[in-house]
Amino acid sequence: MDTALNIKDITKKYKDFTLGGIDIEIPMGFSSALIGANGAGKTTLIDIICGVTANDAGKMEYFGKYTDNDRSELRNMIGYCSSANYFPMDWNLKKVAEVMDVAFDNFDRKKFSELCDKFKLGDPSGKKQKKLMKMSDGNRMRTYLAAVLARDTSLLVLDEPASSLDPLARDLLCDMFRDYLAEKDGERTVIFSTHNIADMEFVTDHAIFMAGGKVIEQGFVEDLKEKYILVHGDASVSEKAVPYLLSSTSNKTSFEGIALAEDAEKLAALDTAIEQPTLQQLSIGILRKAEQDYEEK
Amino acid sequence: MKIYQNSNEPIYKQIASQLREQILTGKLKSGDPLPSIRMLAQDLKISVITTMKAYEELSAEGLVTASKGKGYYVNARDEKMIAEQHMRQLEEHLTNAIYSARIAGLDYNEVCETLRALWDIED
Amino acid sequence: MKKNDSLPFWDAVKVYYGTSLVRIFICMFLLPVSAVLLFVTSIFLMSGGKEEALCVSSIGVILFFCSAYMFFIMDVRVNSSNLPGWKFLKTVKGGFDTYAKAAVTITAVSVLVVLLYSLIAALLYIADIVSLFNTPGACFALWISEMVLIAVIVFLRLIENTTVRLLAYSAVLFQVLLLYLLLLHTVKSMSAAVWIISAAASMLMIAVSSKVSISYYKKKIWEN
Repeated sequence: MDTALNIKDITKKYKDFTLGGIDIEIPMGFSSALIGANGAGKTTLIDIICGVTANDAGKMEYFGKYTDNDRSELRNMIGYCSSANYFPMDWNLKKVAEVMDVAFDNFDRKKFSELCDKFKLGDPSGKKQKKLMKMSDGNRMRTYLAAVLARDTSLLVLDEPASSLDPLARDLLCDMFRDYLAEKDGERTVIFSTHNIADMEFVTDHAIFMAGGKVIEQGFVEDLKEKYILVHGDASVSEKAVPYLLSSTSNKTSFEGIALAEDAEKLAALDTAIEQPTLQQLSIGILRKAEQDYEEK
Repeated sequence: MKIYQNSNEPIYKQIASQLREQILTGKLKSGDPLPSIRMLAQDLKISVITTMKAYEELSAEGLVTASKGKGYYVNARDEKMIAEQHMRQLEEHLTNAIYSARIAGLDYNEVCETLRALWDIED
Repeated sequence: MKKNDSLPFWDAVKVYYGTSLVRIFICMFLLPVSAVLLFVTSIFLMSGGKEEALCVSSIGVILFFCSAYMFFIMDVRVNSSNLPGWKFLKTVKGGFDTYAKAAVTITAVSVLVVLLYSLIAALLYIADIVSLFNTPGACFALWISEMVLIAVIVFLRLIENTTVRLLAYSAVLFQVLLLYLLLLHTVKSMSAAVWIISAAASMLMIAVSSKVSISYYKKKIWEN
């Protein structure tokens, strides 16, 4: 399997937050999700990947041949957009189309119009144009997405694209990810960050969990689902079960948590229910463990 | 292809079993290409890794082969292997039938009679 | 050697200013000209057609205040990471080089505009149609003051806080206005040669100021 992006020991220090060292391998041809709470460092990492922010240490290798010194080639190949404030607020669809056309080599105006139509934004060549500052957060995000998806890129890097979208728009976005990947079968890659994986579960192939500026787990979703198990049981057995669990929640009657699949037999013997976790349940379990580890420090 | 997103059976297993049946019953002939993993993911609205895992399982069973850069193709029919697969399915179905018979309180002869009656209808 | 694939200067301006270079040039040129024409016409009418009513220094003052709009046009609104549009501009083709081209182009256009309306004033004087200036030297005074103004704006536009920036512009505008009036007084006592040399020097000042402000921007703001 080819690697779209190889991140080695990337570090960035701020006054009250340190990112790194981050080591990640993003597989080519798939959709990778950066999952973590707010403040985990997802946006900082994405900004570093796309050249918006400079890293203090570490190296990145893109498509097996470019490094972060090849920004000029990479700018056209990477389709990046942030979760907010991507374009100046006084722009409208028409201006977005005009400037995007000039700012990148591979912008397709026709595709942009089609996307604006699909996202119900209006017509970029129409007479009445609404400025971005007058749009809702959701419509603004759709504008950014339409602009970046209308480009012919090899790597899509989106910072929390789904956060301000309603369920219908999220579903549409998932379809667009799949269309994007299918169009150049195997040559295109998607990276997106989210703090709520439930909506994007059916478009996530590879997951990277982040907390406190570090990567705490990563892997293909199907492999992670086999590496971990979801365990529930009665409160009466929780004391015996908890040592095997990565993290858990409990109340007076029952408990639930995530454990390694290799401990499944031992846990089953304690009269617990074991099943394969969904990515959402896995995220909760892994992120909860990171939070507990942090609190212990 | 029909998949149930909310069932207990992992989606990749559902896909693999439906494709397996199509191959074993000859609906997919040897040399036929399977849809690309990404196009299948598009159609079923699921992630690419899931379709890939389904195909990998079929590949491990020897039913399909991945051709580099071109996708997956159905393998040549190995009559012996197919007969084995069908035999396995028959045994599974018969085991279920025996279980149901036990619950219904039927004995061996009554089950055979039922089998004969059904066999004649199928003929 | 890093590849320079920055956009051509007219596209760089479009990305950073949102409008075409032609439109910017026309706005920069027409606004002071129309303001002056309005002023001249109204004075003319009010004084009953007496040419002498036109006061040289007041035309200069009008031109000066019209320069204020130049601030808004030369103003690159997105000049820090806190402003909407920053992330887009950082990832646009050509990166920093595109910014540099846009900034230099606008500075050059400002100088060109001042040159143009100075030329027009000179032509009107030579053709004896109307003398907006009672001595050729006044033309130079205006020219030098405008150049100083542009050279300073090139730095001031880096200020992130809009209120502070606009206050700074206003302060500078008044200071340079005083400079203009001062120069007007000294016009008569200096030779043409001195004026020509000063005019050339003031253009050099803009080139230096432009280069320094761009390096400063790159080190302190762009590469955070």
